[in-house]
This record gives sequence, C-alpha cells and structure tokens, in this order.
Amino acid sequence: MATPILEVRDVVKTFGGIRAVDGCSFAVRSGVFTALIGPNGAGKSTLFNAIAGLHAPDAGEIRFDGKRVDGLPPHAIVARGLIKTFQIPRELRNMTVLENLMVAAPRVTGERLFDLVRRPFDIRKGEAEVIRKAEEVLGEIGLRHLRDEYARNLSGGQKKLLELARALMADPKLVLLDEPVAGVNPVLAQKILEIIEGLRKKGVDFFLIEHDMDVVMRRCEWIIVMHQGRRLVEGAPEEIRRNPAVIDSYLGG
Amino acid sequence: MSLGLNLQWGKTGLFNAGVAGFMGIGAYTFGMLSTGRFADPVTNWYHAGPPVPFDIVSSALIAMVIAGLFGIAVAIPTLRLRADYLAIATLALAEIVRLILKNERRLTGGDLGLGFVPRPLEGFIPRGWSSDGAFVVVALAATLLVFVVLEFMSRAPWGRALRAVREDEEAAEALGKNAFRLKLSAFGIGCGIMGLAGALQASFNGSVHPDSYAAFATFNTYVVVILGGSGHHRGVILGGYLFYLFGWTSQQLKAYVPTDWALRIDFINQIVIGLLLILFILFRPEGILPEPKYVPRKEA
Repeated sequence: MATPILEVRDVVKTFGGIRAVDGCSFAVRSGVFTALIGPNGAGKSTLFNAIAGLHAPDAGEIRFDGKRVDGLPPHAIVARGLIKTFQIPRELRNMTVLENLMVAAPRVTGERLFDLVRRPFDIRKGEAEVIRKAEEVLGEIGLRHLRDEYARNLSGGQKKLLELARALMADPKLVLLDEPVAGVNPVLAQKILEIIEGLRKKGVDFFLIEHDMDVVMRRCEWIIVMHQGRRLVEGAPEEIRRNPAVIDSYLGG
Repeated sequence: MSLGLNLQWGKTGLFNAGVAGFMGIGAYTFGMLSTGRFADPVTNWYHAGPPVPFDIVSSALIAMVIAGLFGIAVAIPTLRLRADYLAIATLALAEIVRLILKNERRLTGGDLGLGFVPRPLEGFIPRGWSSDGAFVVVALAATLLVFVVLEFMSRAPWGRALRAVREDEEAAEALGKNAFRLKLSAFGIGCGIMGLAGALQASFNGSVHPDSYAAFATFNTYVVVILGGSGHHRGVILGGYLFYLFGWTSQQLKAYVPTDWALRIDFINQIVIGLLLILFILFRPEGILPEPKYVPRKEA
C-alpha cells in the first residue's frame, strides 16, 4: 500500500445555504494515478479549490505529504509542492507564453523587493536559469514555437497545454488537474495524456477531475466517485464500472 | 510624476482614486519639515514643524516615506476587497486629507497654505541661470532617478509577478504568488512616489495650498497615464510632458486670440482633453507607447 500524498478528512465547504462539499473524506496515494469523478455539481471543483487553498474549507482537515494545509494561503501550498490547474485556462493574457511560465517558477531571486536591494546582481543569473527551465518545459510540451507570442493569441488547446506547462514550472509533487482534456481534440488529448504519463515516470503525482470516461477508465488506476458533496465509493476502474450506485448516479445504464 | 500611478494602475491594476491626497501628504510633509515653525505674517497662525528646518533632501525623502506609509495604511484593509473598494477608500482619504489641510490651521496654515518652501541648490545656481531653470534640472534628475529605479524593479521578477497579479489575481495565487503582499508593496511604493512628486511641486511653487490637491489633480494624473501608455514608464513620462505642453500652449494662445476667446480657452482646454481621453480609450487603449513585450535572447 503506497503512502497517501493527499488526505481529505470530513471537509465541508458551504456557499450560502448550499453545502457544495459536505463531509468528504478520501486519500490519494503516491504513485497511483487517481481520478475524481461525479455528476456536475457534486462538489469536485469546489473540493479542488479547497485543497489548493483558493477557498479555505469551512470544516475538516486536508493533509498534504503528512502535513496539514487546510487554511493556508495558496502560495504557501504551492511552495510545498501542490499545484492546481484551472478547468477553463486562466492564461495571463497580456504576457508572453515564456513569461507565463516564468511567473510560475518557484523561489525566484528578485521576486521579493528585499532581494532587489540586497543582491541586485544575482537576478540576472537567476533569470537565465528560469528562462532555460521554461524553454525546457516548452520543448517538452511542444509550445516552443510560440515562446514569444502573447498568451491571449493561443488557441483553446494551446491554452490547455500552457496551463499544464505552468504547473510543471513550479516543481510540483502533486498536480491537481481540473478536466485537463475537456474540450480538446482527440490528438491533443492524447498528447496531454502522454505528457502526464511521462511526468508520472519521473515521480510527479497527478490527481484529476475528468468527465471523459474513456480516459478515466483506461488511464487511471484508482477512481473516487463524488456525489452530492460526499464520497460515494472508490475503487479500481473495473469495480467502479460495475458499481450499481455509480451507474445510477453518474455513468447511466 | 504619474510614474507612481503607473506602477499601481499600469502594472498592478490597482485603482487608486486618491492620487491627489498622497501628493498633498507629500507636499505638506515637505513644506512643514523644510520651512520649520513658521508664523503667517498676516494672521500670526503657526503651522507645526521642527524648530530647526530639515534640509531639503531629507525632507523630500521623509515626505516620500510618509506618503508611502499612508498608502500602506489605507491599503491593508482595502486591498483584500474588490478593486472598487480601494477606489472608494482612496478617494475618501484624498478628501479627508484635503479637508484636514484646509481646516487644521495650527498644523497646516489652513486655507492660506504654507509659504517660503525652499528650492534645492539655491546657493549653487550657475551664473546666468534662472532659479526655474535650475529647478528643471533637479526635477529632471529626480524623474530620471525614479524612472531608472522603477524600470529596474519592473523588469525584475518582482515586476513580472506584479503583472501576473494584474492579469489574473486568482491564477497568480494558484501559481504560488503572494498577491496581497505584491499589491501592498506596489501600492506603498506608488504612493511614496506620489509623495515625492508632491514635495517637488511644493518646492517648485514655493508654497503649498490645500486646494491644489482636489480630485481633479487625480483625474489629470490618470489622463497622463492613459494617454502616455499604461504599463510603460517612458510612455507615461512622455504623456506627462505632452499634457503640460498642451496646457502651456493653450495659455500662450491667450495672448493671440480675441479676449472673449481667451476667456474660454481654459474650458475648451478641458473639453479637448476629455475628447482626447475618450478617443484614446476607444481607439488606442494601450496609449501612445504600449507596454513593451518582454523577449529575452533565445538560449537554445
């Protein structure tokens, strides 16, 4: 049994009178490609936002790598190696593709004002390193030719790639992907999945929300099903496919 | 002098509606410190100040720091809220500042303002130069210094992170940027620069008056930033000079047109500025000089 990299325990998140996440608990094990599925409105994206710190949970505990992260601001969570991509790409429109990646680099010299005074001459060196790394990621992901293009000019699929590339710049241990292949053509979806597969081999963990059951059933090793803010069941793809409760609430007959 | 605003609005997307207030704070701080205790000859009112006047450079620096601290004090509670609240809070602050300046006679000299605010380097003016001419050199040097420092800061990773916050605050947070701290530091520095601008202006005019810091001064600053180019320091400087050149030209024109037209020029002036602003927003929202694209040399 692999160790849990992410543990969610009794997490609650309400918006007004709606309990979007209503006492949800599960664990994601390191090395196991895990998917979170469930009908629209089941609370999946809300839970992801809670894990990433964008909306602090109202109750419950979230542990990442054994340490509690619930209630921490997002930047502190990212610094620990947990990063989330957005379902609808949130590219920084008026910045270039390269800059979009550079922004995501962690621990950059010269990002705190204090650095600018204390060691102004290290900045150039640090920047060269960040650029080198960003170009490497762009190469891996196949966006190198768009390096100096404004992010707003990318196509929908390219923006999805950019979203993933940015997450990789942060040296994450675990990446939360919110529908990475939704609305993407099959060829590009294949490419995104291959990139993920390649990174998994390098030891990066992925936890994704996805509605494409083909992808989920074939690629993922463990599936957690959410329904009405709670965990319904979890299990290996074959079990989930045959589970009557899941078929009822989500997969259909 | 709109450079401070450019940092807030152009690079960070913060809507500061109280530019005039911060300039006023800077101007009065400078005025009080550099003149020392001073009794108005007519009314015999004292305004506050140190018994011995500070020298000009440290007065200006303190003016900058105080305006920056005021900026941070306003920003801490309001930056966490939506952008609109910052605008309202800063607008309110500017009005409060103006009214305090106007009414706290013992502190600020009230309606009469402060007089005899010194100019720098008065003792060193080369023969044949006017005092105004020498001041232009000082003002240019200050602008250049602020420009160089800001340019360095915005090219550094700090500036990049700021722009990321401007583009999409939540996305920047999700990428690990501390948006609040970035906004706060940009706002504080921006307000500090406004304070410095206020100090320079006070020094140039030789006096300070509360009504110089009414809301239209804020408006003018935005005009300069939008015309010159949001997010582009050189553009903003250009915008500033064009704006004042325009004002100056219209004043000169008064001598050449019939009297009834000369009386109208000030108003026509404002109409033209307003029209220009609308035209720019519609057809060239990026300003005369748009924000430059960052393209580093290819590594591979």
